[in-house]
Amino acid sequence: MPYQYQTVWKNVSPELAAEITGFWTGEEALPKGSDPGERAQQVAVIMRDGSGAIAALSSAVPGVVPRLRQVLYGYRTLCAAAHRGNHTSLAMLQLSQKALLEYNQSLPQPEAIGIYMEIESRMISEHYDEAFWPRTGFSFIGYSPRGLVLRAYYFPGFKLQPPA
Amino acid sequence: MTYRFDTVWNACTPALSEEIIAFWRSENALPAEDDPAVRTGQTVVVARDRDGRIAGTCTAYLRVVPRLGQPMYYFRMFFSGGHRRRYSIIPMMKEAQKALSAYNSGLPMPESLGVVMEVENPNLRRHTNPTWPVGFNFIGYSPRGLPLYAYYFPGAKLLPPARRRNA
Repeated sequence: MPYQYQTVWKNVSPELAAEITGFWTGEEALPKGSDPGERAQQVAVIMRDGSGAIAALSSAVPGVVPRLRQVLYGYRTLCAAAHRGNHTSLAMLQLSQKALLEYNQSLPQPEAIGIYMEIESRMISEHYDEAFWPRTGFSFIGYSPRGLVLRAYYFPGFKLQPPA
Repeated sequence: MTYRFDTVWNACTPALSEEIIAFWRSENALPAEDDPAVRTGQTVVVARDRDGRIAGTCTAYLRVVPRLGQPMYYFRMFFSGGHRRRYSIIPMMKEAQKALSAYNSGLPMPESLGVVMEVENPNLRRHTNPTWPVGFNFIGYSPRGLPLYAYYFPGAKLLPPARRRNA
């Protein structure tokens, strides 16, 4: 199935936020107590199916990674159950990397020096078990408190900040 | 200055071992608690100056890095005072990466995923890039507060975690 990708980082209109919230609600992926409007502003890339409906999205939130003592974006994706298994996660990730890199390059001071992710998908953990992912530049940095694989990618040319 | 880099991983002769020990001793680079014979057995590459004298060495030993829960070569590099320059350090690292990667590729089961390095050299610490051109990536700080970098051999796959440590 052909998909279209749309970078929306820092460009989520109220209408799009409502559409995103509808997608999350339909997928039962909105934790209780979370503010959908706030969460929608964290979306980086949207993937739409042939009919134009949201099929997947990625989001990013800056935060200090304790083991690195550096600020990176925590990266998450959600793909609708009906669209999983179509090998779309790589395109989504690469577009998200590009959007977040370009955004930080435009800032006087970067708000993050890269992206990290905790691999929750067992399929991805088991199938993509190389310590270094050459196609995206993500490198293994250890295991999370939940015992899940952690990976980090640093924006090219960015410097380490004083440790948090 | 140009250097010659000799890969001696798992091929350190008694004569070379003696030469390396003499080099370390002359540079006060051999801690009293270290067994010289064991240390020389960990030598990966020897750098020689234009006169053929040892100018630097690098060593590696296998250990499970607690924060990674994976077996890695813990890498150390030492150059004598007059030879601590970028054009000596980078080629040395590349030679060592090549030698250790080739060694692991030749094993029925790789014993290590890559190389980990704690950056003690203040000159290197001034380069605050989280990624280095030689393929090392920042993985955090050591208990001594020094930056740690890891390099993974091409295609190296994660093993079941040996030990887990909270983030």
